[in-house]
Amino acid sequence: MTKEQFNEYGKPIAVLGAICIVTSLLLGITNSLTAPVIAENERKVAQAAYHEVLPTADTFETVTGYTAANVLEVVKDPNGTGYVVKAQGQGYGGKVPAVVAFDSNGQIAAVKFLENGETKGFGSRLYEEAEWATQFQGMEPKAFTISDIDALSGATISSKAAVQAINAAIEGYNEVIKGGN
Amino acid sequence: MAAKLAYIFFSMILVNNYVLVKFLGICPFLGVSKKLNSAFGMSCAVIFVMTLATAVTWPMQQLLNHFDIGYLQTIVFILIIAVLVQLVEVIMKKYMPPLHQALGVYLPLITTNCAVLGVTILNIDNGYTFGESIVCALGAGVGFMLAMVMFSGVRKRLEEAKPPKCFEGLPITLVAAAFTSISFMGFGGIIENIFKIS
Amino acid sequence: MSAQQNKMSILTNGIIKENPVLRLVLGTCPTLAVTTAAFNGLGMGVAATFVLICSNMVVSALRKVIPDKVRLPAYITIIAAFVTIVQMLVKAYAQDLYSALGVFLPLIVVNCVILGRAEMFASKHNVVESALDGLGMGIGFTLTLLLMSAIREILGAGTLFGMTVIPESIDRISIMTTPPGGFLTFGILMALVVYVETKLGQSKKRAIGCEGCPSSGTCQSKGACN
Repeated sequence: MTKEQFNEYGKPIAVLGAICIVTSLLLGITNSLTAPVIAENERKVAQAAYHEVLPTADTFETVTGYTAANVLEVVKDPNGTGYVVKAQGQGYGGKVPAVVAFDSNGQIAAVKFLENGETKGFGSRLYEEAEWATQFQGMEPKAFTISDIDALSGATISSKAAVQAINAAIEGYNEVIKGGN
Repeated sequence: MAAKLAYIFFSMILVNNYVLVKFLGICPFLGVSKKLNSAFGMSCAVIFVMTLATAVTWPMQQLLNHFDIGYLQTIVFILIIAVLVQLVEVIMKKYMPPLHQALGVYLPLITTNCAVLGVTILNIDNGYTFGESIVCALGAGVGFMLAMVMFSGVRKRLEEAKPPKCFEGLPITLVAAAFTSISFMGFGGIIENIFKIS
Repeated sequence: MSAQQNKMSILTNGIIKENPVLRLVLGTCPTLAVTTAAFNGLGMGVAATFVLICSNMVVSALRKVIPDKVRLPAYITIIAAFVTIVQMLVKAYAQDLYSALGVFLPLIVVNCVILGRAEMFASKHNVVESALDGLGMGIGFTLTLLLMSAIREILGAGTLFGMTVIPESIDRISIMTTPPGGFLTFGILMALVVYVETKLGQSKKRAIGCEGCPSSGTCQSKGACN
């Protein structure tokens, strides 16, 4: 390769390639430093939510043995006051995560919706206002549809996603209970 | 299924209009909307680039996720968009000169533009499937076109108006954009109810 | 002494004389989008300043090495690297800011201020001067964002940094925190600046023009905008 050819083609590619490699290395390092912190933050948020929906529990024990799709985590109170299931539905602007607590009778004790990307003022009311979620309290752990409940006005898709999330939680809960966990 | 796609498409144009509600693509919006045909040309280029970029970046994200290097999303996406647009421009110049005359000039302006990178990232954040992403990109582009074309009409009127001296030029244009944006706020809730998804 | 003065003037340049938002009309997207609350405006400003300083320094350090042909992709890669680092840091240590900024955090990579300064300044000056320029521009950007978001937050929500400033009994002009309010605030603010400028005799024609645009190097249709 002549010097000219190198300057014309080789050099740009080499320089760009070098920059890309250094960049990737740098990002890889930063990622390995920050990823654990991020994971820990998420864990803390989840734990806080679990305590909020099942205040009778002091600690939570992770439970396995479920295969239901869209169930993110299942924990139970080792003292037997109930279970909490974290599940999600597919909304308009992404996932609609919810945390559902089941008491010792198997009924829904409380539901809390976590932050989602739904339309501000409509679907975002799921996590901004706690009022709407109270209608699920006392429900039996059986799948239901949107016509069984009061949807959020002007937020049909978000409401359906909320229902999806709770149904997924119910499915996960039933699986775990049957499995004797 | 079709209802959901239609819902995404129309809400991108109206309720979640990329320019007037989401604030993506303001520079071309303010810069190129003075004349109607340049506004139209620019928006056609935007629709094209948005859809093409989505078609390439969505599969790429699946690849990134597969290798657990999702954090490279920003870099990979913007480089893909930059390279893609360069390529398209070269191909257009060589094989489709009339099209290049009409649209080609706007392509470099769109490369480093929030609207295109924005739509590709939002598609991933919203968890859309490939089909939904394409529809979303098309809707976003059409929404951009709607805003641009509408606004060029508004600006034509502005030329004949006589605002206070310190408002002349860009400031009064921004105020006009504010009113245009208010009109779009009226669409909240309509789309959901048109496609009665119950 | 003149070298020292020169350095100071580079720094203050970005704050007033060539304020990126109000005079050069760059970075309009985040200015309108994230200024709904003072905290968000400040956070975005700080994040962008960090990226600006770092990328300016690296671009300047490599300015003799990067061939002209691959200028733009190289700059974009460097800027994107720092933006990604900022993304990861903010997500790990400032959760609230992360959700507030949303998609505009990664969009810092296409912020015309950063790409524009890399092209216009960093590629032609040494590392120290580029760092100062980055700092000055960053401060100018942050101050403008802070100003806009303070106005919008106080009028629209009655709070500043979350603390209630206007008594609850007075109605809020809630449109200020919505998109139209953003355009309006920006327009009025700019008109105010133009007014002050005319009084001082320092008028500058404002347009989304070539001088600030980062694509001006490769643009085929100079002068098409506006």
